[in-house]
Order: sequence, then C-alpha cells, then structure tokens
Amino acid sequence: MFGAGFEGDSLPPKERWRALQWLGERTAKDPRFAVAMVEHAYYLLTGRKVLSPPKDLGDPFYDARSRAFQEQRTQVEAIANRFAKSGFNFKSVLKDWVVSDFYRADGLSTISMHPERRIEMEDLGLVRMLAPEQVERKVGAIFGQPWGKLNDQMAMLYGGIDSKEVTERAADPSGAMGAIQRILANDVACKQTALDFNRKAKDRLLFPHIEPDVLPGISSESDSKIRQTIVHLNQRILGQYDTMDSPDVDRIFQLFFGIVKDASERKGIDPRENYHCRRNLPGDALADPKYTIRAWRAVVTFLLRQPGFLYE
Amino acid sequence: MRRDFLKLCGMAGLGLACPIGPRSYSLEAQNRNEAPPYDGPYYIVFNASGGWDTTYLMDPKGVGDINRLFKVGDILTKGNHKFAPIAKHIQGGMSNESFFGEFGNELFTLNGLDYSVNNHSPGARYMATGKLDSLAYPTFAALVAACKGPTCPLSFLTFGNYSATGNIVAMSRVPYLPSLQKIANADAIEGNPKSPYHDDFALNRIEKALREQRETRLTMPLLPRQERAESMLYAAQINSKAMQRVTRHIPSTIPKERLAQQAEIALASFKAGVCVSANLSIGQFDSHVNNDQDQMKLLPELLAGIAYVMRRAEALKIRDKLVVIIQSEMGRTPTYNKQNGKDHWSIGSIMFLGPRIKGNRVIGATDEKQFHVPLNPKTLSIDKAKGIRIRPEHIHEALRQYAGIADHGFSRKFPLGLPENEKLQGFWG
Repeated sequence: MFGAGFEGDSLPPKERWRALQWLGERTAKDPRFAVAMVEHAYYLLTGRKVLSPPKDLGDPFYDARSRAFQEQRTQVEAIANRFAKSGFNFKSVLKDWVVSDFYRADGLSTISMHPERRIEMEDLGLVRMLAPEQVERKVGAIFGQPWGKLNDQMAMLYGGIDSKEVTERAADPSGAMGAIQRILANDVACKQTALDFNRKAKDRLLFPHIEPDVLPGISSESDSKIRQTIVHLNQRILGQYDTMDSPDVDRIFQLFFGIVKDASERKGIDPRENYHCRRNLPGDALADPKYTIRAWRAVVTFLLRQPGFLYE
Repeated sequence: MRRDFLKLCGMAGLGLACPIGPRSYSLEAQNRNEAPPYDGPYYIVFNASGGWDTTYLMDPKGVGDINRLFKVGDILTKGNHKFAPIAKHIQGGMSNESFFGEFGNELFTLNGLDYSVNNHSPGARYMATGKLDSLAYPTFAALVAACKGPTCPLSFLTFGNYSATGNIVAMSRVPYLPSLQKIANADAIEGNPKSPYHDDFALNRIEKALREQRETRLTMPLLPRQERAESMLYAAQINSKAMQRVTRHIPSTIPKERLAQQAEIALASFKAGVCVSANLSIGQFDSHVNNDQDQMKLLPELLAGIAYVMRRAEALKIRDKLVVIIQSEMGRTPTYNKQNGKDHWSIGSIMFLGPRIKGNRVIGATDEKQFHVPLNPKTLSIDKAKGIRIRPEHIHEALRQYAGIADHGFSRKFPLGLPENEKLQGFWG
C-alpha cells in the first residue's frame, strides 16, 4: 500500500495533523488544478461539461469535432493562465467565461445548413433551462412575488434534484414539465394581470403606460400605446428589446387584437375578469367589459411559455 | 398538423417515444397535436421496503424455529407453489391462500435469490438496478421507461424506494390523485376542467401565436443548441396535452389503502398512454421487533395491493399488457431475536406476473436453514455441483431480455457484466 502523500511526495510526519491543508497546497501548485477549475466553472455556468477530444477516427465529423474541441481548449487554457496569474481568484474565471464567445453567443448571422459547421458550433451559447428554484426567483424578480408552487414534489416533477436519487437537473423538459410550464404561465398571468391593473399607473410593473379601456384598431394612438406596452412586457418578461414594429411585437399585437375582437363578437361573455383571477381584489376595479384585461392576461401567458422566459 | 408535430419532435431529437400502438388515436387528438399514446407493455415494480419474511409467503419452512405460526405439515400448495398458511393470523388485506388461489396459475417465483448484502440502502439499490457497486445505474423501471417511452409525459412514475434514473429519463413523483388531476388539466384552474383559465377562443389564439412564432424561429439563424432547446420546449408543451387523456381514467372515489392509491395513479397513466413504468412501494417491513405481528399485517397488505392492481387493470382492459415484479431488498433471518423479531438476511425471493411469463412455476430454493441452494442457469434446476448463486444482476439481465431492451444504447451504457454462461436460459418459460 502507498503511504500518505501526493504525486510521489510523502506526507511528512510533522504535517499529519494538517494533512488536508498540506494536500491543498500541493494540489493548487499542480498545473492541472487551474485547468480543472476553469472546466468546473464552465460546468457551473452552462450546466455542460467541456468538450472531450473526439476519439472515433471513422466519424465523418471527426475534423469538425476536433476543431470545436481545439477552439474550446485554447479558451480553457487562456483562462487558466489568467487564473494562475490572478493568484487563483475564482471570480476572474467566471468573468472570463462570461465575456467569452462560448458564453455570450446568442445567434448566428446566417443560417448554416452545413453539418460540419453545425457540429463546430454545437457547444456555443448558454441555452440552459432554468431549474425550479431559478424559475421561482425569476417570477419574483419580474412580478414582485414568486409563484410559490414550484417546490417539493412539484419541483421534483419539474426536473429538480434531491441529491440522493436524482443528482442532475433535467436539461430538457419532459411532457410533465411542459404541463407545469403551462400551469405556471396560466396561473402567474391570472394572479398578476388584474392585480397590476389595480395598482396606480406609476406603481405598475407590467402595464404602467396603458389602461384597460384602450382598445386595438380604434386609432393609431391607441395602437401605439398597445405596442408600447408589448415592448415593455417583452423587455420585462423576456429580457428582449424590440422596436414597436418588430415581427414579435406584431404577432403579440395580433394576439391581443384577435382576442378582443373574438370576445366582442361573442354573446354572453362575462363583463368581469375570471373570479379566480380577481379574488382578493376590489370588485369595481375589475370590470372587464371590453375583455382587454383578459386579453392582456393571454399576452402574459403567451410570454411566460417562451424559451426567453424559461431558459437562461 | 400531426405530421408537423412528428417533424418537430424529430428535429428536437425526440424520436417520438410514445409509439403509435393499436389503441385508437383519435383524429381530434391528432388535431390537437397530442403525442400518440404508449400502448404497453406497462411495468409495475412492487417493493416491500424494509425486508420481507419470505418464509411467511412463497418460501415457507415450518422447521426448527423459523416459523412460529405454523409447522412444516401445515404448508399449503397451489399447483407448483408452496406457501405459508396465514389466513387465520391476519386481520386485513389478502391472505396467501386467497392470493395464490387467485393468481397462482400466472405467478412465477424464484426462491434462493442471493441479495449478497444485508443492509437496506445497498440492498435496495442492488435489487432495483442489478448493480451493487455503483450509484449511477438506473432502476429497471427507469431504464425500461427511458428505452420505451422517453418523451411520455410521465414515463417513469415512482412512489418511493430506490428510484435512481441514471439521468436518462425524468422521474415523476405524483403523490396524490388530485396532483395528477392538476397536471393533467394544465389549462384549468386547480385542474378542474370546468374552470378554464382562458376562454376557448383566447386559448386557441395563444396556441396559434406560439405555433406561428415557432415556425418563424425555424427560419432564423439560430445556434444549434438554441434551435434544439426551442424545439424541445415546444414539443414538451404540446406533448403535455396528452396528459388530458388521464382525466377520464381517474376514479371518482379515492381508495383508502396506500398501495391502491399509488396503483390508481399508475393505472390511469398507463391507460392514458402517458406512462411506461411505475415503482410502487410500502414500507415498515423491517420487523426487528415482533416479526410475526408485523409481517402478518404487511404481507397481506402487499398482496391486497397487488390484487387491487390486477383487478383494476382488468377493469381498464390493460391487464394483458401489465408486467408485475414483486420484490424486497432483503429477507429475514431464520431465527427470532430476543424481541421476537427477525433481523436482516441476505437470501430471499422474487415473483413475477405478466404476458409471456409462464405461471405456476417455482425455480430455485433455500435449504432447511434458509441458505441458498445453487441453481443451474441452463436448466434452471437445483444443481449443487454446477449451479451458481443467482444474484440481482442475473434477474436484471433476464428482465432486460424480456423487455427487449438488452441491446438498447441505454442498457449498454449501464452494463451488468454478466458472463454469457451465467445468463438464465428459458427463464420466462
């Protein structure tokens, strides 16, 4: 059996009482330590391990995989060097990754249908599904209060971990998770839309620039207010900065317009917001004769089901 | 639209895991873009958590001091099964007499299984996965779910016991029937279909806008990872609509028994085609004190739970597709301790029921001291000279073969390392 030690150096008897510290000092001097920490930081930030070198020489995409690996390896080594020079300040590693193309890339300038290029770019970008706790925090940040239901069993069903039987967070959504996303979108929109309209305009988080009596298709001024609100919602919920005439804003405008129009053509529509969504709010503030509050709720539901909300 | 959905799943790498089976997949459902239902076989693993006393069930002894409640001459039979006479000792649940009487012809029992360990955690892990020395392996229930239906919304259901997934399939814990109702009706308040969040025309507009947006995104220059994630997300949300099929199979009255409650959730999910496997469990078998009282309470509860599943499956017309595995992580000692209890014992049994499993069979044995007797893997007969110890990996290899997943990539990722000459030949009859 080998005696206690590290890489051929035996643990001196006088250091036995602080063996762990002794090991730590030697580990940190090993050049592999900096690289390992940089790779670990990448895992923490993206949820993915760094690329391994391709092994299968018969793989038709061997060259592409090799190039992707080499590029990432160059980046890892560069960050590891700076990490060592910084006196092993882990913050510098996180900062370096965050400003790198591997983390920041969020799209391509042109569609690449060439499989080789797609393989090379396979590991670019963050694209990480939010864990249950992160979703709750995000709802809290956007709406002023968390949803409060994505915990315990529901969190497990939403791909959470218990550190015993489930040790890795779900990277992709299952059908059950898709159902929870729909429940969340419906329920959060239900609780927050009427509530927000019930606040004074200056205190509103979602609808500071519009009132429920602004209808689409009446005047350019009203349409402009609606579009301005959509731009605001896109920014607040998705972190997306749009112009008022962008295709995404157009689509949401049509969603809002279409729902208000459909409602106006139906008979027997309740002139109030859904009871469940107006509970605990003063009754007179929640009249919805033109269906606009419910149409805005549909818009918020639509946004909460987007990758821009559910992914980092 | 269905073609679009399939195309989308393909793009997302989903490979449509709930394969189209003979069950009707209505045009209406297709138009709602629902994933087609998984059509069986369905797998249920019953776990007697804590360690059952097999000598009071399928491996009775009645000699020495092994069983205080009966003698060897009292042992009963049904076909090839031998079982302990317990009817007069139980207060509730189902007796061995009734259980073997009703299911003996379908039941296949292996006695003399070598659990190899007598600690709860490693034993539960070993029995569930077929691998003792790894925490990474998935349970059989998780593995078969991953292979047969990875995108079924509730592919692998578990209600306790060791349930590791190997990170190849999502684990679903739906503890109560109302929880199932909620996620089955995601667009309704508290899962009540009569209280939708949105009027139908508004919901249709939302779905239409999402679909149009998805189609637009597909024409845009996205990073490969981004493109895949967006397709997966859209497919998951669409796929989740299949959960609505569960609603009509949820019973109006909730049974009181704990296994029956678990069974209703699993069976409703099977029937709806959204689930492949379920891990059902009851605990408290760890009878270190007053073994006979505890086992006489819990074994009948377990058997009643199994019978409940079989009868309800019959009513739901899925019994012919139901595969049932009945197991525990360990047995109990052949002697009583000073507190009239029995401690941990590393030899035990396992039982199976299901299509293509020949019933009225018992293989393997323990001797009069409850030690294992070697089994010949080729002939499945007792063979003290050429026999081997049958361990959980032998069972799992046979289960993988039975389920047709032995050569699946996920099975290869978690090899059992069994030599060819130790594989059980003709195990299922």
